[in-house]
Amino acid sequence: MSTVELVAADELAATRPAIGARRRVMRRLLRNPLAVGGLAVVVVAVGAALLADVVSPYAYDQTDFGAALQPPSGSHWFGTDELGRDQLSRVLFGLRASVLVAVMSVALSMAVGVPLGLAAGFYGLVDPVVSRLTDTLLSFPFLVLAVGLAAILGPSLTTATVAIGIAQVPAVIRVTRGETLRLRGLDFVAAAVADGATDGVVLRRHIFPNAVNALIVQATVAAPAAIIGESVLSFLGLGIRPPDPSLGVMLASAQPLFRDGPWMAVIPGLVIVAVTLGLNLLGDGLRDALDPREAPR
Amino acid sequence: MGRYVLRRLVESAVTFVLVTIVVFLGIRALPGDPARALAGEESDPAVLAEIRRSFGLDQPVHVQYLRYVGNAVTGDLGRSSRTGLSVLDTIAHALPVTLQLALFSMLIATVIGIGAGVVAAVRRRTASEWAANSVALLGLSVPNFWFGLMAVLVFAIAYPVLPASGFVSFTDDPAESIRHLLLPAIVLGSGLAAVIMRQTRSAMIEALGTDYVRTARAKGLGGTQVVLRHALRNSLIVVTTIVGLQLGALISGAVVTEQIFVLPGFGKLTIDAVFTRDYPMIQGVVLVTATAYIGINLLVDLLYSVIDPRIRVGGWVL
Amino acid sequence: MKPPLLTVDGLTVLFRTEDGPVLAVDAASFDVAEREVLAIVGESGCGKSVTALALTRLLPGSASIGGSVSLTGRSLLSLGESQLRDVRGRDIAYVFQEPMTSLNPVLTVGRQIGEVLRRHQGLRGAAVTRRATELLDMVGIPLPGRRVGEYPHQLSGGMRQRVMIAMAIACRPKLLIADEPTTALDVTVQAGILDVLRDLRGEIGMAVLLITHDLGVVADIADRVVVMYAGRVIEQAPTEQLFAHHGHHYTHGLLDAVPNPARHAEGGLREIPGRVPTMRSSPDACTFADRCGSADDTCRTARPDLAPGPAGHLVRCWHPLQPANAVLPADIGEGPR
Repeated sequence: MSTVELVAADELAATRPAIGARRRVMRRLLRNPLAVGGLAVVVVAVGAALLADVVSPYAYDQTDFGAALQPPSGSHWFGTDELGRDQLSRVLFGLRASVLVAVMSVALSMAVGVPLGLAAGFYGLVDPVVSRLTDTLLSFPFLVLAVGLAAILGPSLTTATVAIGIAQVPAVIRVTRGETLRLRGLDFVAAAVADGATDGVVLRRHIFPNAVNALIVQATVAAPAAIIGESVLSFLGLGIRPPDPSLGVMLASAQPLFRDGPWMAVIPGLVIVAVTLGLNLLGDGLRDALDPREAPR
Repeated sequence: MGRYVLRRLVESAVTFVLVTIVVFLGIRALPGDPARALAGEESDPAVLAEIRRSFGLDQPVHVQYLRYVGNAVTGDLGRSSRTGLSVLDTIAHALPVTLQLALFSMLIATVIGIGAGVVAAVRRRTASEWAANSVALLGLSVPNFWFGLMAVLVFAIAYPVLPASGFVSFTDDPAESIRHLLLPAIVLGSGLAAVIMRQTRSAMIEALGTDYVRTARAKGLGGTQVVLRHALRNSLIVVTTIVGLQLGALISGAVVTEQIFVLPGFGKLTIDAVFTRDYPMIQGVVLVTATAYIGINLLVDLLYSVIDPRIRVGGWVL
Repeated sequence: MKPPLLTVDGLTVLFRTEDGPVLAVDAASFDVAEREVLAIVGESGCGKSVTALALTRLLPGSASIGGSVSLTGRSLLSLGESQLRDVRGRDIAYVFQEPMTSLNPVLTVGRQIGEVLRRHQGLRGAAVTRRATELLDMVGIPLPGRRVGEYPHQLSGGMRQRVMIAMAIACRPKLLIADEPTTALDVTVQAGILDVLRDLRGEIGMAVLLITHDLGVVADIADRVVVMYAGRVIEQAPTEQLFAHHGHHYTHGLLDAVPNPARHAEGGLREIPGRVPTMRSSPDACTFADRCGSADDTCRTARPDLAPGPAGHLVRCWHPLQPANAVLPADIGEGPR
């Protein structure tokens, strides 16, 4: 092999992620106690939420007027509301809805944003078009967008998902475009093109897999925002509406009953804070673990 | 610099046009008869026919669009289907409330955020940094509206110190105004403060590790001077961009905060419009918000070019 | 014999890192005489830059510095931070490798030079601009009156480096430490920078500690040379003697590796096999042993001292080269002046 080919092979090896890299990232993540704590909280909360049918002690709409407005106790860990419904069960089902919205909205934002970002970063002519589209989207603050969508589609879980997903699209586009621009300039892409690879192959096999790390980070930022977003929307009546379960709905109905049952407002909020905090800690830990600057030599 | 400004103006104009198209089509996307939507509760066929005529709903779509844009630019955003009052007037009355709230929040958020961020960056690996980081993390994880509810619970109900609702304009009575706006501003600004703090901290840490800071130290410059003159100045460039981007979140947050604290602002207007199906109002609100947002972004970008001489002198296009 | 300007004795720098300790400098000792140009050479990672920064404690908090450093008899490492700040910029000044990143992009060149003048000479107002303009002129920047109000990105790489030098000599320091000052510049610009350094040395009467891996630069401007490897000083000699009669095998490898048609046309370029190791502690052995063709068991089990070798200058080697074997045909660069 000539020296030139030798150099290219070395550089290829240096810039492509090694298989062992994922395992190394996991190890670094697990060394961070805060991230592990966050991970634990998220796993427990999400697990309980997804298994709500099995885990919750009561049905979420099961009323019991004799036990109305009771503070947390042995039989009702989170207390009851004005109709005697068990708050713990309602929280679990509400959390399930939040998780569903979070996952679907992030998926939606990626499905729309990633192809647009790849195209914008790869094709110079597409870039300004996508940038204008992104600017247009960004001109509508999240709630204004949700308001508009609610007016057109009517308030529902789907509307909330779509609103949150669309609101995240500009961020996904920006991240993907940034990564595409950065990776496009690296030598291993030039090597692939020199080998005769088509645009599609380059994007699919070289650029996209290396952009995944940044997208994972984006997802860890988007997920907690989505959970909070869903609760805001249903609180305002623009998302999930009663009698469907949602943490935001619970908080809305708790507002007039502040003096009689403060736990009704405090507890669902604390649950949101706990899950969001866990996701944020996990996200921070992932971001640190993935940071190439911190990698051991 | 001229090239940069021109480019930004053109981009903003294009975005504005796209925004008007989206808003215009939004109403057309509503299920059912647009005339009925614009009329609200009215169902008298004569009135509907009048609306159709005056709005030109029987005209081709692009003509309708041009009429709409033409009207909007001259200040005619139609009439509220709920109150019959001019949309623009109603919005103009509600804006000062939201503006005062937003400005107050931004003030609190910037002061706390930048201050905490600098402290956290300079006093690394100490209790202060840990505390600042934790508070910022909480600020990011606590939903705005729940924070508002808890604030009302504690400061207005449990220990009545501050009013739970109501608005007094700063121009009428500064002291009372601050008293009424303090809780909402803190609630609204908390999320922004957390973001600013984190961005400032990371930008400062990066700046403190740069070669030019090393040069400054090698020249014999002391800690505070190095921090403020060199590191902070360069960090502010990044922070300004971030703050600009967060304005949208601030407007969103204002909607919720006004709902909780019953402030007769722009945000409350929006929510009421949705629930009363006041489509002209919704359309007007969305258009005004988007336009303001484009304007503010343009301003932030121009400000950016003032702070960073690399853009101002030499016509660098980032 | 005048006492040396700078005395470095047993300087040790240990970094605490995520993966364990890193011994960057291992008991380095050398002197710099007044008005002399001393070059420290070695490959990347040998500890030469860390040594330069350690002299005025310009290293990050994760570094522990041991040993002693004295400037005109005054110990530097035991000074408090504010006293050390008086020394920096006034008695000892630095020029760094990357002029693009070593200058603050949002401040004008004049203001950055002005900072040194304000700090150490108490100048204010118009006097600052005047003096800054003079300094720019001294380092050979044309139209200094205009340049003084410009920003770093408006200047070329060579001019930026001249600005760095102007900042460094502003207070007429006794010692100028230049860390790879020409490495980031084009070859055509390098000679100009070296000329500036040489002229200033004569004008101001300062000593220069030059960190470099470029032996051509050493041959051009240095009076004496210190060779470092894996954190240790392994050879010290006047420049001519180092090129002609070096003792250490590593030095031989370095000199042999400089591309030269006379020597390399037939057999191809020579390189030293292996890489510079990252030291975690100070082993009781010669650190070059596993890359050295002449190493034996002594080399691998006992740490050699820095002692006078066959040619008379200090070498850290159990089996230093005899002067006869050390000769390399043809000169390197322009040869010692």
